[in-house]
Amino acid sequence: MKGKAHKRGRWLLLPAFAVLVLLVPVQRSIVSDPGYRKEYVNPAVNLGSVREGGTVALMAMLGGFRPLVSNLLWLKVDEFWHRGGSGYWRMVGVLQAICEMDPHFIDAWSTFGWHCAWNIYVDAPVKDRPKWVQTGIEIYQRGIKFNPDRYDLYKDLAWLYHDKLRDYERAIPAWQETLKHPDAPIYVRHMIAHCYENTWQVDKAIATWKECLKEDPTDVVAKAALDWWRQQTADPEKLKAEKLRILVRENGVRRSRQLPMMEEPHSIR
Amino acid sequence: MRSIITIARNTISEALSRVILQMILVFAIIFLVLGFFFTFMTPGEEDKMLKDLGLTVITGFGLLLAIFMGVSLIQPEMERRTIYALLAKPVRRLEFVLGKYAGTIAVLALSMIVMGVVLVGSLFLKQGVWSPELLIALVGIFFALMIMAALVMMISTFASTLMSVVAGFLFWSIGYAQSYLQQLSEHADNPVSVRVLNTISAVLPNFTYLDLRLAVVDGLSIPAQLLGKMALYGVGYAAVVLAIAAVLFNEREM
Repeated sequence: MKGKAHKRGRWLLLPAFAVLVLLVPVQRSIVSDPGYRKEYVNPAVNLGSVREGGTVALMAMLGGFRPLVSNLLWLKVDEFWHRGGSGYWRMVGVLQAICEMDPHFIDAWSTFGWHCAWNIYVDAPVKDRPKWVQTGIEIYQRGIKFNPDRYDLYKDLAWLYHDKLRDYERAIPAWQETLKHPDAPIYVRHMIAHCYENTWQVDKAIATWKECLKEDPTDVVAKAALDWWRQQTADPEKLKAEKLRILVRENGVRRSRQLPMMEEPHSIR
Repeated sequence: MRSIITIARNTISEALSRVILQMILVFAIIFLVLGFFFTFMTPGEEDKMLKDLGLTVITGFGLLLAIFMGVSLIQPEMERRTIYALLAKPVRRLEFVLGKYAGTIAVLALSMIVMGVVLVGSLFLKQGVWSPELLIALVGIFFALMIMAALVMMISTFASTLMSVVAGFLFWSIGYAQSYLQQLSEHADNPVSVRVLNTISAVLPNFTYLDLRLAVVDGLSIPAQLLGKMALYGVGYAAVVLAIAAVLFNEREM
């Protein structure tokens, strides 16, 4: 009697198995859903870098507490930054792990790219420095792939071309990409105007400043710049002096960073 | 159905009067409120960190609740021999399992709501901004905990309390390590290995399907249809485990 009762319960295994089979397409459907973020379960996170966050971080990683791990590592980045020295280099692996774990964490990408292109650049042997700037560019580009709707990393990339490399030919399209985002800060258009000024494309610079003023009639920076250019273009001597001033300033910066010299501003066009 | 509801009600009142569960909930609330005093980062970073840590605290304490409630459903009843009195009544074992599980899920849901309200409330007090989107992440956590409670309950039908707790944590870890298993399957050359790995992956729970924590905190949109699919997976998987638990419990000589 008891045995029969036991066997009677076994029928449940059949629908259970059927449901388990039916869950396979459900799982596939979750993975293929545009809202499902596969990047958050990236298995390629370097556990060696995770260990920098301590045993707790490693344990939390194995326990599926990725948000906790990425925050512990973020605190570690701050600690390494204040420690300086070898801490700068250890920051690289930790920042990489954070970006792999939480690829929509903009501050992590931004800090990672900046750290490689600016800080590690200075700490690295001279021959390796261009490599670190390139690493910075690639980090920003990777971050942009994950976050195309955010302006922040486009802005960081544009600033790297603009300030670090003084490569205005590449900075202009990068700033323009940044500007496509409606929430981009107003100074982005200013930066485009500065790029045109520095490459001696005066007409385009003036047109861009006018666009700034059209966009925001209270833009005092654009107003002052337009006044300035009105005065310069009215007097050929002043214009010549301004061209020379830009050339001297640009080459001064380029020399200190071992970048190619600017022969004549207009020749960069 | 009546007996399921009665057992569920009884489970709820038992659980709510249990000191360990009260302690878990109190500690969770203390941890969530402690975030209020966290001020040493820039505002953007602080916001992200508070939300991440808040959801982590809820997940962690929710997991503890799910595991400790899961193991205390059947095993202690058998040790105290109270189960015999209950099964002597016209209550089928399946109904017993379903009632116990329903009670556990109700307590888990109540705890999640309390912890969620404390998190959103403390964030509001600190920053003056409502963050109701965090509750979406809690839905995912809840489905994962539903599966966990069912798994632990299933294990406790044949294993000791300690073994059930250990196995529960192991299942949780495996459920989050599924991406490694899938990576192995993608890189395997042998078709048999691929099939075996895929089968293991499909049979074991995958909690990454239900994890919305980072996406919600990073401000990404969560489509309603994804939530629906997650619900289907969470409820479906819990039902499978529960059915196995009922069969195992039925098979047990008492």
